[in-house]
Amino acid sequence: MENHSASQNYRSRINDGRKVWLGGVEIRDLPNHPAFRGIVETVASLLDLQERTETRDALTFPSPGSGKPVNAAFLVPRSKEDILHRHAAFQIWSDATFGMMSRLSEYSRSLLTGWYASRHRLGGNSQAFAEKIAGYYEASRDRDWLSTTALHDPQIDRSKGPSETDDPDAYLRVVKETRDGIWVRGAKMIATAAPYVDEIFVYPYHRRSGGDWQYATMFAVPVGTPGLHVVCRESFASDQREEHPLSYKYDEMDAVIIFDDVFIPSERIFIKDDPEAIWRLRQDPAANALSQHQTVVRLVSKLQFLFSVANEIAAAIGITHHLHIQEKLGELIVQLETIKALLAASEELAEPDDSGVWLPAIEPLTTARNLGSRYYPRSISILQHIAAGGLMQHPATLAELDGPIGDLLRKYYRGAAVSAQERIRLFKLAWDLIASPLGSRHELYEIFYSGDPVRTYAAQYANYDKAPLTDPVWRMVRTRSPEPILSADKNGR
Amino acid sequence: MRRMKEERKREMAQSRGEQFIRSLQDGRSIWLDGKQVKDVSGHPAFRGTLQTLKHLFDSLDDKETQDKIGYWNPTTGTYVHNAFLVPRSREDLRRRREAFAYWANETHGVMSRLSEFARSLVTGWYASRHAFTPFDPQFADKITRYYEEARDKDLFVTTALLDPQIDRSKRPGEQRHPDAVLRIVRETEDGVIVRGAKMIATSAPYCHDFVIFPYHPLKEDEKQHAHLLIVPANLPGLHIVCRESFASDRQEEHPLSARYEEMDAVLFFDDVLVPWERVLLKGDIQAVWQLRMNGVANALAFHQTVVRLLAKLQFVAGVSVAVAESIGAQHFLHVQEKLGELVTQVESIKALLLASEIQSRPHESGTVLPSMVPIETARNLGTRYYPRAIEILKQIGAGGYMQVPSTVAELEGPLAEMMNVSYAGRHVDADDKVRLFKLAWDLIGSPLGSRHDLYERFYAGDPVRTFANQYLHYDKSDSSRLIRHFWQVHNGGEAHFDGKPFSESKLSFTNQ
Repeated sequence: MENHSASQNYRSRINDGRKVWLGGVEIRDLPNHPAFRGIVETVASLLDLQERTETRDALTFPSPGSGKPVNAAFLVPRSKEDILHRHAAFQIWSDATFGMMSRLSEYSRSLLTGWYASRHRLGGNSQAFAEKIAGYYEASRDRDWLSTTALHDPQIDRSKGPSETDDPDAYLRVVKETRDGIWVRGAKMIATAAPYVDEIFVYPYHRRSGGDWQYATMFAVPVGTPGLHVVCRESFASDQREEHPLSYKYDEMDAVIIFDDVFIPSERIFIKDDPEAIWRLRQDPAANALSQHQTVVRLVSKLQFLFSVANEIAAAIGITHHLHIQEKLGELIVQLETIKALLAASEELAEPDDSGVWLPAIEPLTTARNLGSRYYPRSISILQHIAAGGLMQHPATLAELDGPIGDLLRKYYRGAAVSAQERIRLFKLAWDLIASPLGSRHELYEIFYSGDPVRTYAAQYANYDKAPLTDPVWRMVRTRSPEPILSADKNGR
Repeated sequence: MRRMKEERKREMAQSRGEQFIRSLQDGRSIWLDGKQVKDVSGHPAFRGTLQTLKHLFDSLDDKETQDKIGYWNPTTGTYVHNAFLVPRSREDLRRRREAFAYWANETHGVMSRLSEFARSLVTGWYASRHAFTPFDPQFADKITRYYEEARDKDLFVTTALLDPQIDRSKRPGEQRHPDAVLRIVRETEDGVIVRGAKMIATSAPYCHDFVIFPYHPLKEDEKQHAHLLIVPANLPGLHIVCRESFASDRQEEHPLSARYEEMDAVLFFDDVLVPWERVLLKGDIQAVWQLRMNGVANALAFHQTVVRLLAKLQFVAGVSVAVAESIGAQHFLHVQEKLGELVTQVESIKALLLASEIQSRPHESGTVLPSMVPIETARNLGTRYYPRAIEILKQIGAGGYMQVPSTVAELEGPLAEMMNVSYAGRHVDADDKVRLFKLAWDLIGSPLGSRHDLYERFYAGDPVRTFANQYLHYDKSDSSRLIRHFWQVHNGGEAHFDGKPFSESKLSFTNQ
């Protein structure tokens, strides 16, 4: 172990006999499979940043357990500086991947860190919750485990709750219990990154009613556990590095996890048969603030990338002097600066909770996430307007610039101030954002990753402290005897 | 002598607000409905607004509030408004913000020109006065004297910057009539003679002074339009021509129109002699453009506009939530979504305001200024947020706005019993609900409300241009660096650029 780099350890960990299915075939050597080679390389390069001198201090902190540097997503913030440290660490990874990697484990790691920080308040009737979550948190932290979540039930019939379906296996449930643990059966989604991470957190995302108590269990499971199947969607990865620069490296796979009677040992069962305890965990302010903070850092990186691509394309084809193009690029800046301001506000307004854990303010983060669900599709639409028909007017391959009619291509594909090669590369990059399967998946992701935006906006209203808004209104409405307006009122009242 | 003493005594007995209203009887020429307004204080088009202003002026002498709004001025032995506070620290910016917020919240953000904008411009020019010495050695002294006078005498000031909307395809010098655009026609020993018209002088009828300079850049042969004048409202030959009044004298039915109508006016200069003391710049197109782009004045004045925007969006959100809850509509998911959108509006403007102060920087003038990028962002968002907020308020109350009795009083009339049943709401009685809906109507359906929709969209200029300007002003060098970095990483290069770890240089960019 000692002589292996973080990325070498990572590669060997994910070659553990896990059952990953793609196209009906079980994948043997995942790190070298065409659908995963690029993404595994990307993750591996990020892990190595933890050991590079320029980035180590920002990305890590000394583990209170081992004393060795561990990822800052596991840092329980005891000050505003700690929150900024987390921000810096998140940003290094999200900038290095241009905001295109939404599930680099920091989100789930932050959830875990939040649960750990709040462990004495959580767990309901499970006496062992605090101890178990602490043990699991420490193992994850010190062993650099990457993780993801699988929280949603299969999209079978959303009009029926767990106990109302005909098929008892439609929702994940405990089918057998032994002294050492439980056996679970059913399926969970959306486990982004599941094929190439270590661990999956499983619990219901939506509130279960008291009657559905047997569907209210929370556990963590290693991806390589027997009986666990990772079923991938179609791969959007490309092996054409020059033509699809994003799809080549950043296709984070989404998967459904099928539990065909999987054994979960009791130390990994954090909550069992307790809808209220799960719901309290879901609402936990520390877990929510720490994880949402990360999502907003990533959103900034992505919007910055979008603006930069749009701006470079506009400059490349000489359209930055058009007023309506300036207006649209201005809108992208407005998006970016608004999210940056919300992120800064969440940190400026950070406060310690009852146990001395510092949390970024949640309201600006919720706002940024809601805005993000509308900003991203809009920014893609602006990019379309800027690049326009040019997106369909680049040659199939960059290589043909050196082909038989290369001279002609170099002449006619050039831009205002850039060569044909640069211009084509930019447009291929834009195409990968706008129109490739990967790009389309990103649009879906940004709109829906935190839930149906209709509901997330509604939730922001429901949770908001509205009295400061409505009190002045009612005061005005109830002002019965206004001061006389200098002379008598015409109505004589 | 005795008469003077009595006069002084009477003044002492008057509150600051009463003195303000009285000071407007200074011989100014105001035109409304083709007639000259003799006394603004008693006129139905102005008295509600003046009552509001009186209350605001008086708040500077109220022990409960004066520390929030102003600071102690030893010269006068009174409190003066924080719009005149030259900020030397982030704390000073907070004090300015709180003063703006107090007046804005008192008027629910519906009064956009309470003079803080123009006062902030004056404060900014005063703070950076030495930058104008190369253009006019007297500028510094003149602006200092005016700043002190405005501060000490509580002068209410507004701007009139735009030329009449005659033919926007032509430059000032190309207009068919030479008097179309305000210009200096003659100079005398006492000052300059100006002729022409200026708009949009919001709140002009009850202002003491008008700040006049060109809003758009001028060309070399347009020097006669290139000046900064601070013109007293009562100069002979100056006419204040009002649009139709949107004021209501029925406070019960039109609570906003009865209190907050701010009049917009065109100023006509029929050969007005402006004394040299009030001619701060003249005949220098560079000087006036530098004034227009002055970073200190703009940062202070635009900061105020965002404070007010926040107050207004909070008010519209508050009215919307109250309307929804008064009729039980907040139970519907799509209504919750819309109310959630209003919350995101409020929270994002609040964050931008805060960000402008977090990122405040010392300026070479010795001031500490809020960061302009978040301020510009908030102002641009405002042009889209406000119309959208009004649209949401319409969607929530919907047909209900046309279903309120014409007067609140009739709830106690012959049909009282039936009306009080049918006009009641979920947890509110008919009286409250009718008044609430009338308040909402004053935002969405009254002439005053429609004027506000126009105002918020266009007060900072055509939003197409203001978004474009934000793009043009923005530091875009990071965009090409970021894309260069992308290709480096793409080609298997290190995650570095410009000799620094990518993350480090990006951090400074992100938090600037």
